[in-house]
Amino acid sequence: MWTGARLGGAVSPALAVLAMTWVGWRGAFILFGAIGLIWVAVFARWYRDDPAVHHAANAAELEAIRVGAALPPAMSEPLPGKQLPFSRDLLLLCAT
Amino acid sequence: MSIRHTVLLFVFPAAFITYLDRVCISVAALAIQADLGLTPFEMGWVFTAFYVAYAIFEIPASYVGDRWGQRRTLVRIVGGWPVFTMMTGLASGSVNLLIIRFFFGAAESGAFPTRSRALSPGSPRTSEALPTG
Repeated sequence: MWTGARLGGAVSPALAVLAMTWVGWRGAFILFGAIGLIWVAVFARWYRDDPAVHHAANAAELEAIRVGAALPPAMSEPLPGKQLPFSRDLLLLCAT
Repeated sequence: MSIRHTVLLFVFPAAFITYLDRVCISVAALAIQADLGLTPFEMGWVFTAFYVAYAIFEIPASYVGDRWGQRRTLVRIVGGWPVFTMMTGLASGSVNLLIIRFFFGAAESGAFPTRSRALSPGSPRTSEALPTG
């Protein structure tokens, strides 16, 4: 997404100059505005907030999304406080 | 093509257009100043009006985006700001240009936060940064 924005920033001055020489500065704004309205028309037809109700959804993709969403955080278990002081590994680590 | 890749096909050009519409005035500035008879000082306030509104409304618009859902919000945002882009092309003086740019900034606010969220439900938690990039 942000690549699209940065690319927009990079290419837009050239596109604006091009549009202005073609239809003038007023025309350039109207042309660019029209492009946005075309986007919104296509987007509204296609996009659904919940992928599960999307007409293009298939079981495999929904499963991949579900599994990804349910991934536990990296530190899932609490530190074993009672065993820790008697842990041979830890005592060895401290000794070295 | 999977849904989460097609979402990118929408979000990428939308981000592009967001910048196209806000950068256009920098290139057109000299022509606008000449046509409408604006001083550089007045033109400076026209640029400022956009960012002031953008800053004021970014958080409220994102909050509304969370409440409304991405589809309804993005239809509102991307359906809204191009109207003010087009109205910029119809401006006839410093005051109405200033007001139009203020509304343009207000209308663009919330676009990036809501698009980020539009990418989220289709992306596994393990790769949320990648599509945002």
